[in-house]
Amino acid sequence: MKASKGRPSRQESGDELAKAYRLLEEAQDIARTGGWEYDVASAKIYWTTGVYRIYGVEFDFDPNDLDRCIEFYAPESAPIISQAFQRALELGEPYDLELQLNRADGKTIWIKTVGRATRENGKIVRVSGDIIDIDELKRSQLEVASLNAKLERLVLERTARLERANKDLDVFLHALSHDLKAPMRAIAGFSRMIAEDYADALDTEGRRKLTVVSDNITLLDSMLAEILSLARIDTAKTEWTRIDMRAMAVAMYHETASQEDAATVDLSVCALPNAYGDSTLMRKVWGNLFSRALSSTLGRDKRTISVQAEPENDGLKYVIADNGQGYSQTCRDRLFLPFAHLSGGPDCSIGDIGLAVVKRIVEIHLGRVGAESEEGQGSRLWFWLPGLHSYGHGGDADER
Amino acid sequence: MDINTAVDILLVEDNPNDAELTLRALKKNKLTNTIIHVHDGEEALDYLFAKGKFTGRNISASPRLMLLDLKLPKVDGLEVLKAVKADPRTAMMPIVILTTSREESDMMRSYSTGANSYIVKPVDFTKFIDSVKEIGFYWLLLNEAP
Repeated sequence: MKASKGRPSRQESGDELAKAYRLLEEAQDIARTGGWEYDVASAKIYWTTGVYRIYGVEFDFDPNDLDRCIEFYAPESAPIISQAFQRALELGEPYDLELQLNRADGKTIWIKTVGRATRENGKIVRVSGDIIDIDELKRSQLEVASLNAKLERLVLERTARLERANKDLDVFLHALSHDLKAPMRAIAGFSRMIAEDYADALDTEGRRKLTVVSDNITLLDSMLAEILSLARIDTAKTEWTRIDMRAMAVAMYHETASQEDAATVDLSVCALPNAYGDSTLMRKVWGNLFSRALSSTLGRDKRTISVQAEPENDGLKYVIADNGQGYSQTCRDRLFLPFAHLSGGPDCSIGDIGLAVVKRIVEIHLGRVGAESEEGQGSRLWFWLPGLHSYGHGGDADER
Repeated sequence: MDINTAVDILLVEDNPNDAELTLRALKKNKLTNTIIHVHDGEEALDYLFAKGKFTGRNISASPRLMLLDLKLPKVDGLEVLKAVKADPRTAMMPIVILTTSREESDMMRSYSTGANSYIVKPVDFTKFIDSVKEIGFYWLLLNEAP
């Protein structure tokens, strides 16, 4: 058939109409939608087949029974649609509602229903609209909303639990710093009083034993102070900035090294890429690592300490190498634990928690620490920090 | 001791060991002849305001210095501090907080309530003696009372 031009013939226009109607039916079927119209003059309702499908009724169902149609709506939806339709009919107010419909097959579905009035010469002559099955969409939305609410509750619960844990920790730290001090002070003070008040009655051995008592109290006091400083490294108070690692390393070396160290140690610091972190904490990392390297090289003829950085696994490994006495394997395994000398064997002379502080701070920065060492062969202590972009500050990555 | 003798130091300390250490430190430095030691906040306020067993004491004869622990039974150290600073008869008396608490909040509250110094008691005995000596020298010998 030749494509017609101009006004179609009666035969052609009938075919076109049937085709258009068929396409509309298909479109409504696919979109799960239907159209309806209420003609005021005849008080008649017309439904497209899409509406019958949404209601789940046979095509012989009579939509003109308005009350019957409203009854299909869920109890809380029925008055809403009834009122909206009346206002459209009497006042010409359009509506757009999401309601629940009880289909003829018993299934309850979410629908969107839209209605608007048409006026001719100022009088409302018909109300028409669409009804769309949005059940799947609505159920997904409700599911998302309920999951979100659940998630929010979970976050609140976890936050509350964390706050409780922090408060418990504070109480514990307070007990450590406050309540333990009084008996320690008494032991220290009263053993000194014995030494002073009974000086004549005590022999050398008696005085030595009293000195052991007070020395150990002094040690206990400093251990306690260090444990507290480790526990008080507060992740909540970190302030993140870009750090010039080379400048910081050099500055911290000079702050840590004694005059004698400075005169006898051969220090070399390579170019070190910038890092991102809390500068107060990062200074402690360098300070403690240098302090360790300095004490492990004590007694060597030629003391050397070198600092360099190597890219590794999408991050950077900062290495502090020294030619000190090195660590045995037992000691190396415990190097980053508090008071390594307590468990690391007799050769493990680390009586502080400097490296435990390093570990904690580096972990706050999402990094790792480690040590490579052979006894008598010096050691390489390192800390690895993730690349700048890993912290969600990608723009800075070019500086590396 | 006659309760109307003006004392140099009022020591408010509940821990008997700490009190003994403090008294020893003061005596060792020959800092005081007259010292009153009370054991809780209530007793301290009774002494200062001539109540309870100190009824009849002359209130205007305030100690020249009060050494005050913060953690005290009955009436807390901070409450004692507040009461003393709020009363014109005792407000001018220097108060040194001598405590174990290193808590910043305790220190800030003490200073804002009018404490003149805040000393954390050292564990080390020599340091303890030195701290007490310095407090005594400063507040009893160097400081000019108004």
